Amino acid sequence: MKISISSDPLLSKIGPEYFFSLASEAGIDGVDLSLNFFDWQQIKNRDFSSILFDYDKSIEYAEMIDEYCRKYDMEILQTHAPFPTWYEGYPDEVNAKLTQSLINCIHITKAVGSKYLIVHPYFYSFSSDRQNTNPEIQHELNMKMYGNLIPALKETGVICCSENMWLPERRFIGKGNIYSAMCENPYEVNKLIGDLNELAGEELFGFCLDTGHCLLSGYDPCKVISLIAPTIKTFHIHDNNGIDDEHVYPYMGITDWDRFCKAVKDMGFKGHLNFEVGGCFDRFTPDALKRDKAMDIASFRMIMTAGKMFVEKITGEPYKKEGKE
Amino acid sequence: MKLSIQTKPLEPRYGLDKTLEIISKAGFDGIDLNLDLYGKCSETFEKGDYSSLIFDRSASEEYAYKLKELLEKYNLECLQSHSIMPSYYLDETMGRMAIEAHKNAIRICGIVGCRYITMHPYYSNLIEEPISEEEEARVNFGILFPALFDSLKENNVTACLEDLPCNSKKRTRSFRAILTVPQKAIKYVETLNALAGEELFKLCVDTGHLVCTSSIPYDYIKAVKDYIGITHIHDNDGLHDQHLLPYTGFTNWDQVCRGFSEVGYDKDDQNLSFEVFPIPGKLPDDLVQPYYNMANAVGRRLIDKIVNQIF
Repeated sequence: MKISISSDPLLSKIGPEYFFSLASEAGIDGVDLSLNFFDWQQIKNRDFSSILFDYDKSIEYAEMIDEYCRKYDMEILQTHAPFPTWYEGYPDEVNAKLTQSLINCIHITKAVGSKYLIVHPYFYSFSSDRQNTNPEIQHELNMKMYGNLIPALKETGVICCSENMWLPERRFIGKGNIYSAMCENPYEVNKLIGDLNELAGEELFGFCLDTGHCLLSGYDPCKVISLIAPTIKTFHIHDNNGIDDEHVYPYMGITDWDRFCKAVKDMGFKGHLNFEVGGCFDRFTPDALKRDKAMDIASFRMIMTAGKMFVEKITGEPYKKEGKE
Repeated sequence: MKLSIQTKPLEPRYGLDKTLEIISKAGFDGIDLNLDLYGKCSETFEKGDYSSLIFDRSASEEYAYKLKELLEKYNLECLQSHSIMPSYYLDETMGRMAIEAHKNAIRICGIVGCRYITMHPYYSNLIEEPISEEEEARVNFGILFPALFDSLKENNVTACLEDLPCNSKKRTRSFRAILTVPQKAIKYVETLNALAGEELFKLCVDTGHLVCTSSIPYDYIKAVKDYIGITHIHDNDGLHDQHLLPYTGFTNWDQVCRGFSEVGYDKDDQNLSFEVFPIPGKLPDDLVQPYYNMANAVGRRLIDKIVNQIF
């Protein structure tokens, strides 16, 4: 069982050379490559200058990453698309652009040799705006958004993984109170993934279970795993205090990790474990320009140590370095 | 719409007569009768002490007739009641006594003309001690609720299943337990009504339990609209099941009221019931009546919003 870390936010701050050298030195097997190259504000401003809107530049980026992987003997085990992935109410050409960026993400995923691309579902952002929403409408919009990706997924063999999301209530932003959003409800997950694979006529869609987001939405991750096990292809493993999306190391929050490992073992998971703990890097070394290599490598090794411990709990055997797929 | 409030924590403190006097004086239309007070796990089941009136048919009937008189005296209705919790135990004697208690609770409802009784399904309230979906279904669909079909029919009472939170042993925050996901809530009501052969089951929508498990009450209410029997109304910080008065926590009450209004839960015979027991339990005697007066005012405000669509 391999162990990977998410590249966001560190890779963009410290550059690929330093990032991959640290990961390699810590013994980490692979990376969840963040392709989060644009944000809401850019889309609102109709700024489509990101490389993700250009196929050639996207492939160029993938080749650059692939070089670093070869140099440091690492793998891209999963990738993460930018978000928003859809903007209901915006002109069709904006959503067409967003779809194009997701298709380019699929090609990047293939080009870096990865099998899984994580794409957030579309969901209404703030609960105080929800009077015009309902789960059926969100399901239909996501069928449309993900459905647009089917030809590229078929062409590349990449599996698109949806993810469980949370949202703050506008009047409580910054106060830590949040609600569950699209795909936190296990029944919604099974329906969405089932309907998408039926539409595709083959298994092109799966799920990335985000353990931290479960906590924020009042779901016990272990219970959710037992309810949606067949859909889970990847994980975002991280911890928090149950209130804020902190993305901190396991055991720094409220998750019961022994039970988590047991649930992963019970579901017979054969994939890799990905740690999405970007919140910690900023805590320990907040200034990207004043890196402390000893601190950085200690951070990466701490993740690797937790990963090894989890692998042993899940497989019943000590972690063993495996070759590239 | 009508407004009620539970008899806990006043009944053990003041007795039934004084409790109903306070509730009536505050302006409520009725009560939510806490029969769970008479079958507490720690005081009865764990000790094997089944001397409480809820385990005795004649004693519970005597209680019911006394209550009926007092309700008339104070011009109140028993708009809903709450049966014992936990609702079932796997131990043979405890399980049998729990079912007996539910039957007596339903009989009390029948005598006082209460149409709804809140019941917790069998579930685990600790995430560290999970019960599988299959085991929950085996007990709820195979043992607990089928044992009550006849009592519910005879007494013309509807059992309302409640959405419930659970905790971790470290009490970090509330997590979702049974029926907080609308699909499962609907499945439970439909399955039980099919087994009973008539409509004996509905839902008790507990807004506080939804909020403390990060559910959006508006979405839940809209999803379960046809299945709502009664309500438990209270507030909290979005993380813990605090049972606070509305507007003293995190709940977006405009959204909650919009939800009830949009699904048509706004009729004259429908009821908002406050489940706000912790604070009055701590208040000195001279602040109890003002607290209930305040609760009534808050409840009337919510009803005004629902009925007149003021959001």
